Amino acid sequence: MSESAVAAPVARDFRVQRWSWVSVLFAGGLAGIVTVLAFGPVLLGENTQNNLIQLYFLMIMAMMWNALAGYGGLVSVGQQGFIGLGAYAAVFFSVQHGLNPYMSMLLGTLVAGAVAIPIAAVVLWLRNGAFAIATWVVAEVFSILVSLDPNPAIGGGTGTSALLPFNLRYDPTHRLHYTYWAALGAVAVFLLLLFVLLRSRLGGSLQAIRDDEEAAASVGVRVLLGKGVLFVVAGMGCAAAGTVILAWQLSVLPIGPDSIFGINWTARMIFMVLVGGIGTFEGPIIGAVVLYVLQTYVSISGIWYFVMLGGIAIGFALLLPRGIWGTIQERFNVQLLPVGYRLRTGDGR
Amino acid sequence: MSSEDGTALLAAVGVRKRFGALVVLDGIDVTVGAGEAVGIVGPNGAGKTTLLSVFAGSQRPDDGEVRLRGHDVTSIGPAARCRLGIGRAHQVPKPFGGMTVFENVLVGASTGGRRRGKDAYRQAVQALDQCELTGLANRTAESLGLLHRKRLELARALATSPQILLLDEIGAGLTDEEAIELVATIREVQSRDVAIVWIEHIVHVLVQVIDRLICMDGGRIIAEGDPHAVMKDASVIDAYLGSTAGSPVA
Repeated sequence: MSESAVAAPVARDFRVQRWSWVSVLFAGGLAGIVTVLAFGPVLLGENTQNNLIQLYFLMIMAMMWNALAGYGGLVSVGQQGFIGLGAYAAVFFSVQHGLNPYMSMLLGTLVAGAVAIPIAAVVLWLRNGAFAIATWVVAEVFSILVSLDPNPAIGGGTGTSALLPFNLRYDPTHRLHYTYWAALGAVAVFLLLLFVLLRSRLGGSLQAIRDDEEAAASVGVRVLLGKGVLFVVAGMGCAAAGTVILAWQLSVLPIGPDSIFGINWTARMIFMVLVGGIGTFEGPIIGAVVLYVLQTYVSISGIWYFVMLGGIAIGFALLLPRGIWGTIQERFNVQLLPVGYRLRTGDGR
Repeated sequence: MSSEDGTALLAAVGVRKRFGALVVLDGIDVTVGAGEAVGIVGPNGAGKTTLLSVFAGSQRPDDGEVRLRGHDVTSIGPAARCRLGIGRAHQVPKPFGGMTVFENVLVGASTGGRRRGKDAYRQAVQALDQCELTGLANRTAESLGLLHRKRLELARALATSPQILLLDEIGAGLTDEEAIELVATIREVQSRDVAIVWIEHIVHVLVQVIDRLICMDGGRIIAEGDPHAVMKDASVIDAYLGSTAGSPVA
């Protein structure tokens, strides 16, 4: 065979850059903002706290949907299933079994994560449209099962209230403070979790799966495992958002588009991610702020509210398909929370 | 590592594959020794790419076995086979479009190549250097033209540190000059004892690298052996020219 000993190429000087000074500054700033926000119950009025709680659970949802679709290529229209599951699991622990409501929120999130595992094992065999429809079916099944539950704590189709477990332990002011902290904590935890996850080896594998599943497998990526981890994390995130919604509005309905299992949550998630910038780490946070501002300051309600959201989303899809942050990133080549890699070699770039 | 003890690095034994009524592979027996370079030629539809897919694990044969170092790997999927040392460059490049060139190759080094941290970076940079892509490292893969996509396909497979590299028409559409560079790269890979299975229509490029040539037609191997002898084989000429004269002689 070949005896021509061609030397292996000399490894040149190189450096792999992940952080830039801009991103270090931003990450520091973000940690600072979260720290300041943690003093919200001391510094802010009740109205503002109530509003921020909404912003927080919207942020979690947007981050989760973006992680699924933007990083994993998993376009789910059934994440409301996990939102509702989280909320109802918290009801189960707090109303039915009298556990501390905040402990119940944590348990509800974990239970939803556990439920996501067998669901993932089924729906992840499907692709694209079939996957999307399957997730929706799963969400509807959850919704129907809960509405058929005759247990008075769960309340069947008429919904249930978590007022009792919260009010037995906390007066309204403290309840607001704790709910605020729970919501902010959930944002911080899932932001960090997602950041670590997407920066890890798994993050690269997931993006590879999103771009070409067959090619990903051919370079050694365990496709089903990668998608499974992402699906379970996203299920937990949405469940956490669901428990926050429960603690915030204190009652939930199982059936209907506006219920805790409602498809409207998915409409909101898609809106936030498309507007903010799909497949960017920062985009969904911006999208959540945009949606929050719209729903707080634009006094359109009911059906026309969703017509407006749809119109704006279509406008973005046509005119700014990369969304707000994707466009900025492209123009200025910045990444505030870097999950990618830049290679710097000795001879220039 | 050698095939002297009778254990080939990679082997197909009696492999059959059909798509509906169409028989694509009709009882294929091939062995590839460690460090050996095997070329595959044959007319379109001969089953060459399907054979590569069966080797890589992305297609499962209906009958027969694939063996790697003597072990039956027929039921093992493509990701696990890559980790076991089978790398593949696809006929139509399949870049990870949303990722940079460096990130594309890094995925190969860190998953298939099982390298971590700095070690993975070094492996990725080396693969980029080898395929002359280092200058484009931070470009997104979707912005690359065909030549660079083909190089990326090769670099990504190399980054997984394969012991056997499956190449599917990696030279198609290249100019002569580009083909010469490609041959140099592949020779260098082979010089590090990496076995190569290479499907190529540009035979004069192929024969510069390979030790053995296989000609396929209609899902069967119709000739195998010394590259120049195979190209002169009557049945090979038949298969290419479509003449009905002559009988298949191996």
